[in-house]
This record gives sequence, structure tokens and C-alpha cells, in this order.
Amino acid sequence: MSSEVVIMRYLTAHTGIPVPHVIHYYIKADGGGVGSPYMILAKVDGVQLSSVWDHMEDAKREIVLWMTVDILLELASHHFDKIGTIFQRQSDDATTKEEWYVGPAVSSPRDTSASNSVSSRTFTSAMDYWLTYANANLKSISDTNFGKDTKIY
Amino acid sequence: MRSIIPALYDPFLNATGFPICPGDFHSQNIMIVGSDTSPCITTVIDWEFSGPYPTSSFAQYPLFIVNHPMWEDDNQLCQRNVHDQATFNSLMREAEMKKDPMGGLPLSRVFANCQGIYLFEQALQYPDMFSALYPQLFAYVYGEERDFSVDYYWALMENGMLRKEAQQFVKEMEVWKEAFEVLGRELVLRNMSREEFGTVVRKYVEQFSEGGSVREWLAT
Repeated sequence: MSSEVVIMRYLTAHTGIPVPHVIHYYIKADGGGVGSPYMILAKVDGVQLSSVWDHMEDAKREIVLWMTVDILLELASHHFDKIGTIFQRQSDDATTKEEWYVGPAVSSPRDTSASNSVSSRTFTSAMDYWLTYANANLKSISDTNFGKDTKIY
Repeated sequence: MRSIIPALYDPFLNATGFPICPGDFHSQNIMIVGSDTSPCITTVIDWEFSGPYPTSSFAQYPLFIVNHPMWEDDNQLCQRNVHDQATFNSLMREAEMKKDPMGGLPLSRVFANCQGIYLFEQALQYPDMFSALYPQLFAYVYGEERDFSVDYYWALMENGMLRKEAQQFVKEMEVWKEAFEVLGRELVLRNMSREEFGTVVRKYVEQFSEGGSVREWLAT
């Protein structure tokens, strides 16, 4: 969840993309007595696009697509050096170093899923990323369901 | 699947870096007002699974203009999605041209050719959808030669690069069967990992006969 807060802060600071305003968050597991980590966001206007999309007229959908293109182009104009999770430096040396950096996600070492195998490190190439993902999938097929008669490998 | 990765991903696209990809960019996370008058996106929520990502994985149509892999061909929305994807492409070209007239529209090109990567990534990430996506992916890659992917797969598994793994799985089937017959269904489950299975048979190793496949497996 903390990475979600960081991304929303980044987008607020560097882009015009409308994201919810983070009022308060607490990332420790017990939520400071609440029982789980939490995040309080400002109320947002409107309804979910999914609730109206199927019934919208062609011309109205075109306006939504136009805004969507705008958001995607804005996202595409900000580049990072690695594939991974964005972190924000929490110190006074922000003046000397870049404030935002990319690192591996903080994850539980017991999670052996394919998606965890790619989020636990960073990549500098799309091919490396997806090869690692595919290999982790194969490993998981091989290691689980011991002795099953049909293994789709 | 693994072997088609180099054909799908263009390393040149990320020469300048990786953009933030919204992990959940579908219509449930986009808030809108005025849907029947003058629509306006007010907020994009849920950035939990977002982060820097390959450009070709980023340049995917928003899921609300993509056919669901489980839809029948005659679903009314299929026609509409064809229309909306064409609209999306032309809006993207227009906007990208405005931003960088001399750039050659790299992003628009990737978006317009995103189908293969969409199928590949969905099939890899969502095993539940695999059976629906796999034929579509290989129809995309090999065209009409659908049987080719089946032939290719069996060539790898039977005599090719993956034959050792395939033989190992056959061996493990025998080992599992013997363990199942000796120890019973309480101890030998159908969905155990190799490690869990190993722990169980080691614990009861004296019940297996010398020269049997379980002993042989444990020795390797």
C-alpha cells in the first residue's frame, strides 16, 4: 500500500492526472491500533465508468477515450530507469540525489508465486522481465502438483 | 510461450526508460461525471499495482474497449469495441502528433499493434483464462497454421529441449502412484509440492520396498 501512496504523490507533484487526495495513511500492520494498514482518501466526485459505459452514446464515449488518451500520454512522458516499484527518499539529501527512485517491492520471502519472483527485484529490459516471469511459471508448474498425470508445461 | 518473447518485445522502445503503468486501468477505477451530457473523468483511483513497466506492456488499450476472452463472437459489444479501438487509435495519433510532430508516433504504433502482447501477458498472468487465450495467441502468432503450436509443443517435450522435464514428470507420476498405494489418500494428496511430497515419503521410507520407484526417486 505504501507504494500506492508514493505513486499518487508522484502523479500529483509531476502530472495533471487526477488522483484521489491522500489525507492520511498508516502503513504498519496493526494500523496503530486500527487492526490493519489504512489510508484515508478525500471523497471523489462521479460514478464508476463501468456503471455507465455500456449505455453511453458513440460521441460521449469518444470524449472519454480522448481524456483517456490524454492520461496515457501524460504517463508515457515520465520515464524511470528500471522496471520495479517507485520509492520516495525520506531524508534531507533530496537536494543532492533524485527524490524518486525505483527498487524491488517489499514482499514476503515465503511467497513463491511467479508474480512475486518478478516483483522482488528490478529489471532494465522488457524481455528479461517476461522471461523471468515465464521461467518462474514453469518452475511453479514443475514444483507443484507432484506426480499429476497432465502437466501443461 | 517462452520462445515467442523476442518476437513480441522491442527493446528499442525502452531506450529512454520505463513509464508508470496503471496496474488497474479499467472502468471500475475511473470516476466520471456527466456521462449523458458532457462526460468528464474526475479521478483515477486504485494505483496499488502501478509502477514503471515496459512500454509495450504499458501501451495496451484500456480494458473497457477490449473484448473479454470468454465472450462469444456474436456479442454485441465486439462490433462496438472494433469501432472504439479505431477511435482510440486515431485520437492517440492526433494527440501524439501534437506533442511531438517529428517523433514518428512511436506510441501510437505500439498501441495499434498491442493485440499479441495483450494475449501473451493475459495468458501468462491469469492461468484461469489460459485455455481461452492460448488458441487466440497462437492464431495471432502463426496465422492459420494453428496445429503448428501443438506440433511445436510436442516436439519440444518428446524429443526436443524439454524432454528431460517431460520424462521427469512421467517418472514422478509413477513415484506418486506407488506412494499413494502404500501410504493412502490421507497422506499422499493430489496437489502436493515436490518438497511436501519428499517430506512425507522420507518420513515413512521404511514402508517402501527396495528397488521400488519411491526409493529410487529418493536416491536421486
